[in-house]
Amino acid sequence: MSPAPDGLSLLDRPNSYIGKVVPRPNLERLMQGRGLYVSDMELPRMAHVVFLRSPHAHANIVAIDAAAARGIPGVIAVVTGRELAMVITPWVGVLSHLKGLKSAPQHAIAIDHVCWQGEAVAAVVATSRAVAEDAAEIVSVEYRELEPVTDMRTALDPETPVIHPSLGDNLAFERQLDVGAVDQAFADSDAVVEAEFVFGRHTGVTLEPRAVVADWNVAETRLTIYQGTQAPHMVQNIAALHLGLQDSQVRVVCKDVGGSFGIKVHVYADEMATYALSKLLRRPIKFVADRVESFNTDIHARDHRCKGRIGVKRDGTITAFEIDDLTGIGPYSMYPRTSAIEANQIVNLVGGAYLTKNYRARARVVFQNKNVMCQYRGVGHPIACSVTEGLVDLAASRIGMDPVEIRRRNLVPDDGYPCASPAGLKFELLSHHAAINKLMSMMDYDALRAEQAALRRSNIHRGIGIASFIEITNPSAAFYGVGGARISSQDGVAVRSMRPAR
Amino acid sequence: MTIPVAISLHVNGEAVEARVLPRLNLADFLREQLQLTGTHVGCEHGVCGACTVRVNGDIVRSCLTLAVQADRASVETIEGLSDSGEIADLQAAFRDRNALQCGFCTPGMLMAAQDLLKSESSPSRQRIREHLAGNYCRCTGYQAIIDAIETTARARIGRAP
Repeated sequence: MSPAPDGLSLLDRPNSYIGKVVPRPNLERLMQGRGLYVSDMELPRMAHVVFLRSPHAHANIVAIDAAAARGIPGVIAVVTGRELAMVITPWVGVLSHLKGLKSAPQHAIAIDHVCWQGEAVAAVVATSRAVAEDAAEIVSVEYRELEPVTDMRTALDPETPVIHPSLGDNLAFERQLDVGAVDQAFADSDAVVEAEFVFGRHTGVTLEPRAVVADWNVAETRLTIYQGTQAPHMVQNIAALHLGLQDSQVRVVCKDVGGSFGIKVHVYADEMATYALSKLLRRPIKFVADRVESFNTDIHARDHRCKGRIGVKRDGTITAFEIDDLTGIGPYSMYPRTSAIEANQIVNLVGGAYLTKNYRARARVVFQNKNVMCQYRGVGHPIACSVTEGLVDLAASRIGMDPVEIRRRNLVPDDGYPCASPAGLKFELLSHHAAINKLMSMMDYDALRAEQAALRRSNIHRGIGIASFIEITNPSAAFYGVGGARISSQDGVAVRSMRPAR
Repeated sequence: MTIPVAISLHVNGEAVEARVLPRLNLADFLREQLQLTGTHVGCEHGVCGACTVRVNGDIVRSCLTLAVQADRASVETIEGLSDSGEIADLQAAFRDRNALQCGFCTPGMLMAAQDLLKSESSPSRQRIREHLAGNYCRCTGYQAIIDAIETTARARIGRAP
């Protein structure tokens, strides 16, 4: 960046945080064990909820017998999905800008039909978590098992059961894109390379599990929700919407949060159930997931099978990209951000750093009887980057070109901005070539390649990997708000100035 | 079910008399009966280290220790080590190196780090890593944590008589 006439750059302006050490006033309390995480909270008359969860991936609930559990001292209530539905309405995790996305109504606690191992079938509320767990053990649930849909590759086959019959099939969302002249580009290529990329489910594993305390004050008709969440305004809006309250009747307090990573940016059914239980039972209710519940019910992500194809000329020119992505998201599209964003982002991002405008993509998002999937940290980017860069490496290998060289020949030039990717993402002032030049000198690439070759002769196999990458930042309302999710709020503050008393 | 058992112990130097169910673990006892919530519960099966406390001078997983096992013991928690000033320099190093993000693992990290520094005056980075191997930081701040512990060890040597 060239200095301004006064010798200062943009980064030196008075309020810039760049390069500055920013004090963190919360560190002292966190280091002294004096933080206040939701899992630490206790309120007067607070009760604890434990969710009895389905051991089956797919089943009908025939009967629930909780009489014995209700008789245990300390048990306040055992609540089924049907009972809880009297105070909270179901939701459907779709957004209007994801055309064709469908999902079934999801209840806070399952009614009649459980769709994944770990879905709550009853809530046991007691004076302590231990008592609630004791009681949950003796709630008797009779299930009629149904055939589970587990393999995303066969989820759309006619002989596969449809998880939600009202939807007609197990296809949640499909997007197709065809830009440029892809068939002609492949026909004109000197080599076409294909590969399938398979990604297993990931999850975020926050050290503090999901935790919420909901406090319905029936006298004031106000609900206070203490929650470890990344999106308090979203929680306020959604809790109000489904409990039949005004936003102004719901206050969301977010204290210290023991890790989020995108796991805590969603609204989970068991959290909705906790708000509703507080309203139903007229007292504060606390839910803290245990570690097994976290693994079974925190959103998973990135379960994709993506077939890719790349065309290349002998001189290294990439002629086209094509992908066919398949992802299984569990039985419901997550609320309110939906479970289609990840696949949608993969379509948006593949090939984005490169010059070719020939790009064809299909993404299919299917339902299955597994825990819900949704997006967390780096939505879609790891998949898109792995597929794109894997294809570029395979193309380089096929034509015998160095992986850095093929990228130099295809990355958008640093003076080529502003420009748009084949999927329509607008890029400004990127600097792939400057970055790759700097990287090559920092890592002394040629020396590393020479060392690699020398080591190979003594049977030591050393890998050197190169990847180009564009991270989409600050999409603002384009991701969710445009489709109808009320996620953030205008920030505001009221300032009152007082002189100290003398 | 079962009958509470009387226990008598010292927690951060204070005498405590309590009645606890035999199944109650030490972490829940400290957090729920004594409101010492600086001891955190991350995994409840001895893997994450967030619940690390000191019992009779040794660090233990309070989620794998029963409260009744602490009868007649001296238990020290992050609140006690903070108030006594024993780890003030270590905490300052964590702050200076920004060795915490969400802070949920931090009390356990500090307990484990102090345990190492009490027995070894100048541990290598490898030794520090080994000693912290049972403490998870999911915000992945390990480099800064190890830096802070190494810095503290060096500073303590400099102050040694």
